[in-house]
Amino acid sequence: MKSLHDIKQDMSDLYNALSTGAVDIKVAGELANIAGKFLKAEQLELAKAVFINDPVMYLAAQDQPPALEHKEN
Amino acid sequence: MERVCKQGHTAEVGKKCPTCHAASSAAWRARNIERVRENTRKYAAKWRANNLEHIRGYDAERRAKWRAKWRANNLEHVRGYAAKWRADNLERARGYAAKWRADSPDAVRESTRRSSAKKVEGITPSYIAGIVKLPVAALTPGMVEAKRAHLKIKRLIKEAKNEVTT
Repeated sequence: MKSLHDIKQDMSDLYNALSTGAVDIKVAGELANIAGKFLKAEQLELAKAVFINDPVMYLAAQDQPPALEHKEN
Repeated sequence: MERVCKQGHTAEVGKKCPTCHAASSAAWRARNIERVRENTRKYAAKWRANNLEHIRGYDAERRAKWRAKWRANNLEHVRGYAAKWRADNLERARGYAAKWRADSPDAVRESTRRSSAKKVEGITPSYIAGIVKLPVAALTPGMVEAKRAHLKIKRLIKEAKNEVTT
């Protein structure tokens, strides 16, 4: 399983290779898409943690108003 | 100096007719038209000075109404004119830009390099937080670095694709 540091290192290597023309654009695009999927998984983990710890903060980041609590009279 | 009132009586200028108390007559007005005009001007100036706010309000309201009506009647014309102007000048502007690019390749290369560098510098944690829809405080440094590298490579791929197609 790759960590975020590994993904970042791979992306940097790919960036350098693409800049020098050592990698085809199509291959680079596919690798970038795979890296994006890893990052999305990490993003979901973070979102889950934030939502459990602080739902109001999570909703604020999603540009959604927090649900109003219903008060019993 | 004497004048004749509407009833034909003779009276002094500047005073009402002592017989019928008429203020003025057409004949007197014709003879003293300059004086009448001067008096009218003075009266109007005084009235304007006393009613300045009223005049301004009235003028503004009338102008706004006229303008709204004119815009409603000429909207298509205005839009058409603006579209034509844009189209005409877009071609001209594109021509100038293309000529400048052809004449100064070094400047174009430097400008492209600077704008690319600026784009990369612009990938801030808050920008990344906006993309991943999370609070900035919730992002880990590893996530920021990885996402920044990912965005950089996506931009590079996009630029490379544009160069290939153009």
